[in-house]
Amino acid sequence: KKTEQKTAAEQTTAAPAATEIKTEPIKTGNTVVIAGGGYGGATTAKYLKILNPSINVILVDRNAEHISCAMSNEVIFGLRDISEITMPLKRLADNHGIDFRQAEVTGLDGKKKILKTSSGDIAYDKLVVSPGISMDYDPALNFTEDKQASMPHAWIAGKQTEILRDMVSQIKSGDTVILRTPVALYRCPPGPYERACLFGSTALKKGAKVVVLDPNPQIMSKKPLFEKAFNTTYKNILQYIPNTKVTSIDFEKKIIKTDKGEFQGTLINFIPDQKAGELVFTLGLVENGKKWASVDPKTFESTLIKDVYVIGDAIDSAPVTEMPKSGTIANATGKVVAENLVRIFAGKEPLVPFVGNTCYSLVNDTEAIWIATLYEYSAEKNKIVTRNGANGIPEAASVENRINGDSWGNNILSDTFI
Amino acid sequence: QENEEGRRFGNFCSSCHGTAGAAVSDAIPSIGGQHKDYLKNSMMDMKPMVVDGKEQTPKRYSTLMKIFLKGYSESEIEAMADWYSSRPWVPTSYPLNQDLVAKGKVSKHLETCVSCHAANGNNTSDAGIPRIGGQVPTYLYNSLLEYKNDKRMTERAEEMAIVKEISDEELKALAEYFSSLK
Ligand SMILES: Cc1cc2nc3c(=O)[nH]c(=O)nc-3n(C[C@H](O)[C@H](O)[C@H](O)COP(=O)(O)OP(=O)(O)OC[C@H]3O[C@@H](n4cnc5c(N)ncnc54)[C@H](O)[C@@H]3O)c2cc1C
Ligand code: HEC
Ligand code: HEC
Repeated sequence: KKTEQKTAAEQTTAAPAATEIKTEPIKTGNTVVIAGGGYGGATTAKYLKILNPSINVILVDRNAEHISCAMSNEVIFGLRDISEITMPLKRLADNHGIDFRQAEVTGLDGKKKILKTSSGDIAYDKLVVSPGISMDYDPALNFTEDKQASMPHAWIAGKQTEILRDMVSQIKSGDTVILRTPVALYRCPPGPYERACLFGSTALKKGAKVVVLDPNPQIMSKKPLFEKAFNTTYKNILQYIPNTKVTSIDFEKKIIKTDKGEFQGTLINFIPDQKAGELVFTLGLVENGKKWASVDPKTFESTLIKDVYVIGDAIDSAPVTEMPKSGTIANATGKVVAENLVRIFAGKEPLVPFVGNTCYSLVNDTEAIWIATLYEYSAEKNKIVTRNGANGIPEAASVENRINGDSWGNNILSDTFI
Repeated sequence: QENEEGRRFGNFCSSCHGTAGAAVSDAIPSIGGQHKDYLKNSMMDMKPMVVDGKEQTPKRYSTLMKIFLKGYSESEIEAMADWYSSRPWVPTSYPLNQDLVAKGKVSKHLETCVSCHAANGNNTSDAGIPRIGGQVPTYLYNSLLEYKNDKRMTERAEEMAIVKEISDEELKALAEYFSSLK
């Protein structure tokens, strides 16, 4: 029943086949099905089993292994091996008694409570969906899936991470790297600026230059700290240009045209704008005209389909929370949903979310910074907001933060995927 | 019966400290199975207190714990200390430097450490003395340097005064040795 990873085009043609499979779905009365085995989905599956081993947990992902986006910048710049962030989902399943199925999720019958997949229908009592992001391509730029072998965005970790890593290893004296950052909201607010710093660090070593084209009015996270790195360490080799709209891309000549002029590069890393993972659109969890799935901030239950919960990057965060689209938040909200499902099965009321976030970012090969925030649901605002002003960034980058950040990486991988 | 309130307030801590507070890496400490009184003290010492509307510098240095702890009340911190202390202590599986372990084992200061922390690094008769046998290595070393360099000015820091007479190299060996205990 092995399904290979499919391109978007193949997925749409393959979808109808699922309805032909005539497996009788079986459920036990407390069956939780989880679509997507990344930071949100894997954590939910593991914590459900830790909290109540008698719950029947079925985890579905199209891939046998989840490759972590967090720490994938380290892979691109040769600071970690990709094997360290490649997490086999069967290992997680075996460790905790989770039923893992490698399959493409293709549809949903919310009334009969059946999830449709490429390897058959699966009945659920509660469904948790955590598909991450997909790219929201600007049709005017003609930057489509097929262009990405030569111009990888590497914002969903996997093959593109390796292609970009290999391109980075070829950077030589006199080269110019162009990094285009995505419009907010996107996955991992500090991520593009961490990547900018690591391009800067490579450029310093190789004698190259970096141009960062940002469509946003300013640096979107940990601003004073990234600004400091740009203006000191990378002062002579990195140009940061905010408020920049790309109007066209010449893929042959590697020229980017913008409202601030034309830029020619030897390596172009164009990170497209983003929207929720295609899956939530397919499953009918997105309101008309929106790009993300609407949820109730008290529970993360979909506002459109009952007994379906959406967590992680895919949620329409702006109206319901100040939380960023991060792996730490996907992990933490997975725990909140797991706790609440266990309570609901036991006939108890769910409790409102209480979570924290941290993101460590490298500003060069040896020093890091972070952001830390505690969040809680506020009934008054019907929103998940910062608790008691518990939010902050360090005064400066440090080696100590880099060492702790490395530990954080290994601990969150283990907490989520092992 | 688990302290469910403590578990809820501390649900996200495991992304840094490991599942149920059992860390798998070397720098962020294990907190699962640590003594309850010590856990509570350590958090209260890192928490910035507000006196006359002004935020004070905490007694104990921390990189980021001070940010999170600002958001919790004392009773919430106590609930988390209760829950984490009720989890199993999992001795570190991080690969240790065996040369350092051997050096630590023959340190002339070891006897003094053991007089308070016990031979296995887990003195169960005084819950204010932290469990250090099997704690992660880089964290133990950093902690010793913090006592040495007056960055941990806690109520009981005086008891750790011996570290001021010990070289950094030897402290590193002692830290690695205590990490190796089960
Ligand atoms: C460069 C970079 C650096 C980052 N650094 C950090 C960091 O330091 N700290 C941090 O907290 N976060 C970081 N992040 C963000 C973090 O990776 C994401 O926020 C996190 O992965 C979101 O989790 P998720 O569960 O929503 O989605 P994902 O983790 O992406 O998981 C989605 C899963 O769903 C599966 N899936 C999707 N559709 C289907 C389908 N139709 N059928 C079957 N399976 C499907 C996918 O295969 C995937 O396994 C970073 C991201 C990037 C790009
Ligand atoms: C992003 C990482 C991160 C998160 C999240 C985090 N910690 Fe920590 N913790 C650390 C680090 C790093 C230290 C060492 C002190 C420092 O530098 O802040 C530490 C130290 C501690 C200590 C001291 C242990 C000892 O032996 O003295 C305790 C207790 C602790 N944390 C509890 C918690 C609790 C409870 C939470 C959740 C409310 C939490 N931590 C969340 C990183 C984290
Ligand atoms: C007289 C008693 C005493 C002696 C001797 C002593 N300790 Fe301690 N140790 C303590 C106490 C009490 C604390 C907690 C202090 C506090 O609250 O900050 C502590 C804290 C520590 C910590 C911090 C652990 C953590 O989780 O942060 C380490 C590491 C440590 N001791 C190692 C040692 C070593 C190594 C020696 C010998 C060189 C030693 N201690 C000698 C009593 C002692």
